[in-house]
Amino acid sequence: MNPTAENEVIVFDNLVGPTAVDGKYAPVTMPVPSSEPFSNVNAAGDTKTVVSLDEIKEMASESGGRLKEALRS
Amino acid sequence: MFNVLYNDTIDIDLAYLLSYINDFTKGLGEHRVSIDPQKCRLILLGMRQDFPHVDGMNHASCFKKIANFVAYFVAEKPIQNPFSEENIGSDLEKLSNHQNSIVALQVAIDGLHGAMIHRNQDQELKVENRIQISRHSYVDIIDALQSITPNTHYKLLTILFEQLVYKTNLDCQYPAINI
Repeated sequence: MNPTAENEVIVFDNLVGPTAVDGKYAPVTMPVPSSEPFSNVNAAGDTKTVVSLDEIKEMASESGGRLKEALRS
Repeated sequence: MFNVLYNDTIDIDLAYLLSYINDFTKGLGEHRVSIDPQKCRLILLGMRQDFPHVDGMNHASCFKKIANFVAYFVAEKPIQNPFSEENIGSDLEKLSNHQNSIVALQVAIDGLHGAMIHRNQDQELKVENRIQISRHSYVDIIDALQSITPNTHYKLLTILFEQLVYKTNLDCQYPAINI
């Protein structure tokens, strides 16, 4: 994903959310947020730093696989 | 560069959080995970407003930030369908709200791995090693998280995450004392 792109939508292909119709769910999407320069305002400590959404996705996927493996054993 | 959480805008946090949940649940083997994105937005908003630290969110440690996120996330329960026994085992599957506790704890573990601790104005420490816990402790923590709220559990969660990080990162700990 290019976080600076305009009019683009992120599709979360494994998530579904509620709709206006009771009991009906639709894929979760959101507009790509406009990226602003990162400013380190967190004086006492920051959560992990990442460079892109792809890094988050890779980290999450590895975490899910690792947990599944750990719980299986 | 961005952070896993507490970025400049809630929209960036939301994109990162939903992406994390999307790919974490895929990795875990869960499909078509039912989630309320509006609740996720409220969690990200709530955890910033009236941050429970005397000097506010911008001066809070990574432990306080993560603890506040976990408390809000578990209390709001944005993920609606429980995970399957096939993927998480029977002891976790029978715990109510396990899906939100599992996701919140995993965001915390990943968000703290590589986090920065700023101490004494000029000292900066990096959390180099990932949190490690036994399967037994993992189940106990998910059990303990089931019904937490920000008001009642934020401080204890902060200490829990701090101590879990110190266990694998002894250099990050303040000097220990015999008590």
